[in-house]
Order: sequence, then C-alpha cells, then structure tokens
Amino acid sequence: MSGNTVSTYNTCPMIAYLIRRILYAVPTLVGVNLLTFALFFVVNTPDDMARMQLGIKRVTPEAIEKWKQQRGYDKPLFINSATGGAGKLTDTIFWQKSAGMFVFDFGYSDDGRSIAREIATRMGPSLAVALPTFLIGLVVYVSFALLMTLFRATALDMAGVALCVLLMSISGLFYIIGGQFLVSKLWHLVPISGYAGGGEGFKFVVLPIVIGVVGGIGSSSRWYRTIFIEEIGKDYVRTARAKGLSEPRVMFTHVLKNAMIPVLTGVVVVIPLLFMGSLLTESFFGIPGLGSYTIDAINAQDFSVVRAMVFLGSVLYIAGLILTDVSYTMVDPRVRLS
Amino acid sequence: MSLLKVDNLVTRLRNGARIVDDISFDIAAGETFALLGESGCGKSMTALSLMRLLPDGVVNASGAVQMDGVALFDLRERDMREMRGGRMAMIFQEPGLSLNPVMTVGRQIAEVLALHHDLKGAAAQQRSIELLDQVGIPDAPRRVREYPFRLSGGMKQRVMIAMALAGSPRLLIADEPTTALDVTIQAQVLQLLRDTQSRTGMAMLLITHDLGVVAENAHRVAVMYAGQIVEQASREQLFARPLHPYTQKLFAALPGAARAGQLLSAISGSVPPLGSIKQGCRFAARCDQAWARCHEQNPEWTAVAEGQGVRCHLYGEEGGGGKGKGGRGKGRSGAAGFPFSLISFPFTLAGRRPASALPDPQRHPAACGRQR
Amino acid sequence: MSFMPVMLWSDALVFLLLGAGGIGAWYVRRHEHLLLPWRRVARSATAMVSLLVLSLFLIVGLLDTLHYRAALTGKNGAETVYSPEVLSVLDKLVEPLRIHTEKTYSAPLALTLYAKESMTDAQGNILREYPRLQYGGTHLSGASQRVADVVKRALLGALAGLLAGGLLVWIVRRRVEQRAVLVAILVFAVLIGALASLAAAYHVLGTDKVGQDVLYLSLKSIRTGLIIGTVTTLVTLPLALFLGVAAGYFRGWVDDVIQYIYTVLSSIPSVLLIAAAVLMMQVTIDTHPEWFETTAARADLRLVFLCLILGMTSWTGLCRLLRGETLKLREMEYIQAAQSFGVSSLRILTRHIMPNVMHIILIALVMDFSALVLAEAVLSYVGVGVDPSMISFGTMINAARLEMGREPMVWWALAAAFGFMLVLVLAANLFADAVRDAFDPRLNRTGS
Repeated sequence: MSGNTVSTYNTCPMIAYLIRRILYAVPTLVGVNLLTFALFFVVNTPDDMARMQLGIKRVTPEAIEKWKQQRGYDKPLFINSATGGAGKLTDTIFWQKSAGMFVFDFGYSDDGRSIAREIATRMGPSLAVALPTFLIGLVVYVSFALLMTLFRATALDMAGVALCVLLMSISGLFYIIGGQFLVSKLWHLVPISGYAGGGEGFKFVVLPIVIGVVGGIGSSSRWYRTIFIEEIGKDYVRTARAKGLSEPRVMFTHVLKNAMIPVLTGVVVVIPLLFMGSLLTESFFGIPGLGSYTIDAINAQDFSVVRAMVFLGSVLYIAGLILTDVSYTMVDPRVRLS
Repeated sequence: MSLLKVDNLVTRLRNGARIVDDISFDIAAGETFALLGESGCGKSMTALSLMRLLPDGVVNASGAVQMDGVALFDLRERDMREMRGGRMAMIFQEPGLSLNPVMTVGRQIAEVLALHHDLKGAAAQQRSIELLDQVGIPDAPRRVREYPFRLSGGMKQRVMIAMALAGSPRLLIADEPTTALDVTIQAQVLQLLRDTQSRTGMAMLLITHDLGVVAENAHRVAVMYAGQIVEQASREQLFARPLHPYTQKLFAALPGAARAGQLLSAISGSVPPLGSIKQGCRFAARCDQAWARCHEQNPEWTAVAEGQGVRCHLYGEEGGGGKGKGGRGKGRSGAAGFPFSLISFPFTLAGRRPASALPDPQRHPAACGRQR
Repeated sequence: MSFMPVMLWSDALVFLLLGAGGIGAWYVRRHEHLLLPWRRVARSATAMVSLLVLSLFLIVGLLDTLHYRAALTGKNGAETVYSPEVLSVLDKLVEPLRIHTEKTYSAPLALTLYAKESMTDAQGNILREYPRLQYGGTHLSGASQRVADVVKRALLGALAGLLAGGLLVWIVRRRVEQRAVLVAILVFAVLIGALASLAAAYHVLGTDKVGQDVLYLSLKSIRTGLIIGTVTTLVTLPLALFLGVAAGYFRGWVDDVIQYIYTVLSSIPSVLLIAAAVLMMQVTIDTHPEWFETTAARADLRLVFLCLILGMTSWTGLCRLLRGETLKLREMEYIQAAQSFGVSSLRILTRHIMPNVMHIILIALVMDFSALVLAEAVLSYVGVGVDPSMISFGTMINAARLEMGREPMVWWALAAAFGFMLVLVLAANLFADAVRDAFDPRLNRTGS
C-alpha cells in the first residue's frame, strides 16, 4: 500500500477509517499532554518541585539549579525568547518533555533508567495477570448474568441480584486483603506475592487472577443482567418466541447477539488498557508490572514516569475506542465505517 | 366446527387486576375474526394469552382455549412450542422492532422452517425465497441475505408475514398489522393478508382499532371495551345496526361524506383505569343511555339476533335476559344483505384513505368462506 | 467564651449542600408531579430501611462537622488563647473514646494489651505478662469476670435501647408505612444501646497501633466518606449540567469544544489523572505551609481539593449522558414549538430541558455516591487520597494492613473499617437502586 494510497482509500474503507481516526487522536493527545504539562509545571514551578525533591532543609539556589539542569527543567516553559528560529519553541520544557512522547520516547526516570525500556519489560507481567482476569471474568460474569436472566423474576434471580449488590458494596481492598489472607496464610496454597516468568509464574498469578475475577462479580454481572433484561423485553424476542423457539435458544441465538452491541461498548475499550495492569493488584501482590511501576512512581513523586504513564494510558484508551468502533461492524450489520 | 374456541378467558396482572375479563369467542377455518377496541382495552393481551406469550407479571388466570381440539392451557411448554409458529403464528404491530436487527431475513425465516418442517440448508434457503416471493417481495433471492434495516416498513411486515407463513399455520393472529405503516402500504399489506388467506384457507384473528380495517377484512367482529367483549356480530350486522352504545359512538365518531362540515363527535370521558370498576357496566360513566341499573349491576351477555350479541342492559329485557355465553353465533346470517355501501366510507378514524385503495372483500369470495 | 466556632472549608461546603438539599426538598414538596417518584421510593421498604441507615451515618457525619476550638484554661490575660486542636461536637460527645488511648494494640473488649511486656512484680521479679489496659475494663479485677460483665452491660444497654427505640417507634408509627422500617428502628436502637453501654467501659472494637479506640476512628471516618461522596457532586453537577446541556442544545462549535474537553479528560485513565493532580496539590500544600493555621485546616483543605479533583475527573460521563439526552429533547415537538414561538434559549433551557434531565442527574448522583466512598479507600491506600493525618476508612485500612502478618493477627481495625464501609455503601447502593427504579422513565410500571 506504499505507492497507491488513493486506491487503498477506495478499496478498503476500514484502513481509510483507521487512518482518519488515528489523525483525529492527535489533537486529543496534544490536549492530554497540555493538561498534564499544566498540572506538573504550571501549578508548581520547577523550583517548587526541586525544593520538594531535595527536601526543605538543604535547599540552596545552586542545588535547585543543578537539580533542574540534570532533568532538563532549566528552560522556559513554552517560549524560549533567548534562542532564535525553531529553537524558540523547541528549546523549552514543553517541547522537550512532550514531543518525544508521540514517538514513545519517554525519556528517563528520576533514577536514570529509560522509561520506555522499563515499560517494555513490565508489560509482560502486567498482561500475565490482567489478560486472564479479563477473559475469565468475562465468561464468569456473562454466564452468571445469563443464568439470572433465564430465571428472571424468580427467587433465584432475586437472590442473584441481592448477592451482586452485596458483593459490589464490598471494598476492592477487602477482596485483596481477605483473599491473600485466606489462600496464602490460612491454607498455604500459593505464595502471597512475587512473580516469576514462564511456567513458574503460574502459582504467583493464580491468586491475583481469582481475586480480580471475584472482585468484579457484583458490579459486572449486574451490569450484564441489566443489558440482557432490557434486550429480552424487546419486540423481536417476542417474535422469536412466537416462532416456537425454546427459551434457551431465544437467549443464545437472538438475545445474546443483540446484547453484544451494548456489551462491546463497555468491554472492548478496556482491552488495550490491560497492558497497563492494575494498580492495586500489582502492588499488593508484588507483581513487577506497569501498575506497580505507576504506584512506585506516585509514591516517589517521579513526575516523568507519571506523565509517561498518563500519556500511555490515553493512547491505549483511544486505541480502545477505535477498537470498539471496529468491533461494532462485526456484530451490528447496521454499522458501516465511513 | 370452529378451529379456535376461547371460553371465559381471564388474564390478569400478578396484583390481581383483570386485563382480559371473561371473554369468549370462536373462529372457523378460513374466517377472519376481528377484535376491535381502543388501545389498552386488552385485545393484544388476549392474543398473547392465546399464544401463551404473556409478558412477565401477567398471567392467564382461568378459562380455556381450544385450538383444533387441543386445549392449549393444558399443554406442556414444549408441546406449546410446537403449536407456536407451527399451527398458530402471530405478526405484530411494529415490523421495525419485531424483526431481529442482527440476523438476515433468510435466517429468521429458516429458523421457523427448521423448527416446524425440518428443512435445513439449501432446501430451507429455497423455501425462504419462495415465501418471500409469495408475500410480494421483489428480488427475493437477494433480499433473503439482507438484514431487516435495509427494508422499508411495509417490506418488513411482508417479511413478518412470510415468517408466519413458513410454519404453515392454521391460524394467524395479526396484532394491529398495519397500524405502524403508511396508509397506502396498509392497503397493500391487508390485501396480501386476504390473498394469503384465500390461498391457504387459514383462519385469522385480526386485532385492530380501525373500523376501516374491520370493514374491509373481517367476517365477524367482537368489540372490546375495558377488558370485556361488549358486542359481537357479523360485520354486516355490526355496520347495519350497532347495538352497544359504545359501538354506536364509535361509528358516530367517524368522519364521513354525509357529515362533511360538522364537528366530529368524540366519546366524552376516558377509559376507566384497570380494575377500578367493581360493579356495574364499565361503560356506564361515558354512556348517554345509562340509568341507575347500569351503575349497579354488571350486564350479562345477551344474544339479540342470530350471531349478534351484546353486553348491555338496554337489550336485557327484550332478549329475555339470555344467559347464553359469548354469543357464539350458531347459524350465520346471510351475507348478502349488505345494506349500504360501506366501501364508499373513508373508514379509518383518520379519514385519509383514498377510496380507490379500498378493495372489496366481497370480490374474494374464497377469502370470505361464507358459501353456506 | 470557652470555645471558638471554626468553619473549615469542607464544613462550609457541607452546609452549602445541606442548604441546597433543603431548598430542593422544599421545592419538590410543593410540586405534586415531582413528589410522585419520591412517593414510589417511599413505598419501597428496602429504600426506607437504607435511608434510615444513611440518616444514622449522616447524623454522625453532621455532628462531626460542627467544629470548634476550645479555650485553653489557665490563661488569665485579657485575651483568651484557643487550643490549636480543632474539635467537633462528635469529639465532645464521645470524649472518653477519644482521650482514652492505650499504649498500643488491644483486641476488642480486651482487658490487656495485645503483646506481652516485661514487668516487675511486687517481689521484684521480672515477668513476661500481658499488661492491663489503662482504660478498658479497669473496673474488673480479673479476666474471669469479663464475659459475665460484657453480657450484663450489653443486655442493659440493649434494654435501654429497646425502650428508647420503642418510644420512637410509638411516636412515628402513624407516619411510617412499612413495618420493616419500624423493626429496623428497634434493631438499630438495641444495637446502639448495647454498643454505647459497652463502649463506656471497654474498647468495643479494640485499639490501634498507637492505642486509639477503633470505634472512635470508625465514627470519625464516616464524615470523610460522606464528604467525598457528596461534596464531589458540587463540582460534578454544575460542570456536567451546564456543559452537557449547552453542548446538546447549541451544537456547532460549542459542542465541538465541549466534546474536545471531555474527550481529553476521559481519555486519561481516571486513577492516573487523580494521582497526578493529587501529587501536584501535595507539592503546592507542602511548599506553602504558611497558608494553614492548624493541621486540621491543612488536612481539611486537602480533602476539599481531593473532592475537587474527583469532581473534575468524574463529570465527563454524566456530561455525555446529558448531552445525548438534550440532543434528543431538542428535537421534541414541544421544544420546536417553543423555538418557533420565539421563546429565548435561556428560557427553553431552564423551563423545558433542565427539568427533563433532572432524573438522569439524580440517578447519576446517588449511584456515584457509593463508588466515591469506595474510591476514597483505594486512593488513600495508593497514597493519593486524604491527608495521612485525617482519619478515614482508607487510612485505617492502610495502617491496619501492615499488621496482617502479626501472630496472632490484628484483625479488628480492618474488620471495623470494612464493616462500617460495607454498611454505608450497601445502604447507599440499595437506596440508589430504589431511586433509579422510581425515576427511570424507561422502566414501565404496569399496575402502579
């Protein structure tokens, strides 16, 4: 498709659509960057941050200058009037700290490591926990919701909904702490925390996955049930029943496929974000993923890392939105990308 | 011998309010029986009761329905499924919402074929195309692979009819089949229903609020008000001499050439809320001819003439206080005596129908099935 | 004067909310059609019991919102000097709980500390013993009497509670439709009675690492949770309402700008955005210590800013909903009719559009409340929540979590925090469900 973009546009609406959506994403990402930049450098001046980092006691103007210089914060914020030409814009903190992000060059963290490399190595562990949690969760929640829907307006359904409300009223921290305590300390089944690659890693990730799935049952199953129940009240379902189809067949061939449309809206968008891992789970279970990386950065007040993660998160979120639109075309014949 | 026989059907909400209150009627094969009434009077719930497809929270409380000699309410759910779509099919008011939006037209028809005729694969595909052809969908081989959103409203209703016909039903329940359609399309769809009926000889329960539709299609009519059948008659009887004050007022509310330039008369008041009337006639509050007894005593069913009956105290004495159930007319009155030219009346309540779009059911003698 | 009333920022906002709620309630009471859905809520027994629980929490929270600084005694000069410690009416009411601090951990209803210590007895021998508590159960001579005493006190308290509850039930019996509510009043009265009676002599829920009573900490946490859950709406609501309705109604470039803003905001994962904003706020607060007179004021401002930040990051969802609804509404015949009659945009917005989106706002607000209460705990755990010196469910959990490894386990602080949170969030969720059921026009209500 190198030399022939025009015909590509004509022959493949999907690619044309994707290109356009990606171009649309640029202003959003610029906005994200401006916002975090404003948060990090305008609300507090680099001097404030230096003072924070160095500790109040041994702050001398020289130390602050040195700190700023080491991290490249000794330039003007947006416009550098000292230099000429393009340097006016490029030789500023904003340009230096933002432009690289668009090519995924995130610079260095406060302890001098390449953020991009760190992200690359930490994505694996994050994914090892987040992806199975997502997939198993999806199956469990949807099955539970289908069960409640099939038995709707009976005691079973009522009990199911009550259970969901109870489960969703429990703090996510409780699932983690309680689960850790039960499985690891009381039953001594798997280690409390830690991580290892390969097959060894299984015993480390199983508990976070189980806890992740259990923690989401309440709100997710209820959400799916609401969607299914709303769908089942529609006229075409009555038509399907009037044909003589059995209730399970009505559910699986008619309702489920239609319910996919609202379900996709909420589900597909998080798929790219799985790379980011989960802040809580990872820090509790000592999994060296992006979630714990972020928490460590927050606790160490490492602004470069936090900004990089914010940017990465936005990129993945936008990717999720695009993916959602693409996925609509697969389940809904009425949607055409254009 | 009637094909469908409904006896004292009661359908109510879980909380006890009766939506359909003790109604009885029967339909013979090849006959079109219209259930006429304003929205909320319980006519759709009657239809869903027959199909045993009542929404959650609504139940069949009592009564019996016999279809082809089979007592529907005694069937197990899986046997009832054989009936649904097989021996009795149903089409609905909103064709736009009644088709599954994410399934091709062909597959939706094929589902019925697989279920009731064991037709699968290419054979089912072939039969689907035939069915679409029969209901007048142009270019059926292409349409069969399309999704409902590509079709117009009238086309969708045709697809619904094709789907209903796929199971070769003996009874078609049509719940306001034309209400959501444009006026010209309405006429076409009704024509299609009549043609289909004359070809297959099936019975039809036509649910409508439109006197015009009744005039063109029905052989016999039951008028429903607030969950009860207040009058039942052959079409000719009803249009010649409506008995119940409610029916009379319905006719009076029609715009007509004879009344051009006058104000339309509306029925004052509104339908009583569900279950609010414990005693007396449900129409009494809106009735000009009501007297004390109407407010105190629930009128019994009174057979007034051959095939015509009414639930009204006005006719109680002269009918000898007949306690005959449901006025199921044993003998049919001669169909010939059709006193005035109904067809020249623009009979929809909206009064927009061009006269030319009104075909005369009399032109389809087979459809009428009245050669006795 | 022996005390000086203090109005913290969060207090002011709470009173503002109360005022707004009061005006809203007054307005609704005067309009039958607005009252109708509330009547539906009132008919649901679950909703009313949840409301009862919520009001109990609310009372505790409000008592904890009336702040003052006590005058220091012993000063005989012309000017009274006030203590730097900001207290609330709740602190005063449960003063014994607040000041009866032990040395360190002790289990619920215990007589002794949780760990053994070396002590010298009368003979001068060094013993490893569990030291007795300074305040908990001091009226008892030995552990053998404990069970009997606990039962006795609990029963006495329960009896007193039963009497008080019975009186209350008798007073309100004609105004309450559901028997369940009356039963709930009795149950809570009994529970509170027993709890209060025990709390007078014991640490009912134990003590934490620095010996503070866990029951006291739990009660103090309620205000933090309620503030996070409610004050946040002060930010969310106007933003979402004005921007959402404006975008939907005016369309064109207004819509484009507003959509751009919320796309940018919502494309940042909310935890990260909150974390980044809180980090920055922390730097600001830390570099300007001179802004705050007391530590309470500092912690309080941080709480207010946390609400602000949570509000700034969570209005986008509601805004999108309102925009969609307004887009739908403006195509309605009655709005088009109003437009063609030349009714001004402002009037159409306030008279026709806003009343018709109010149910969405209300449903969103009650649904958000429990999510925010839960979020507070997580954020505080992550380190971007409330000030570490502020008592909240999150800080309680965070502190107690570290002690999970101890043998035997220190479980009571965790259990108390999770338990109180569960009751609060569950009640809020159930109430929110009832509100949604009553207000959502999409749910058909046959037979009602």
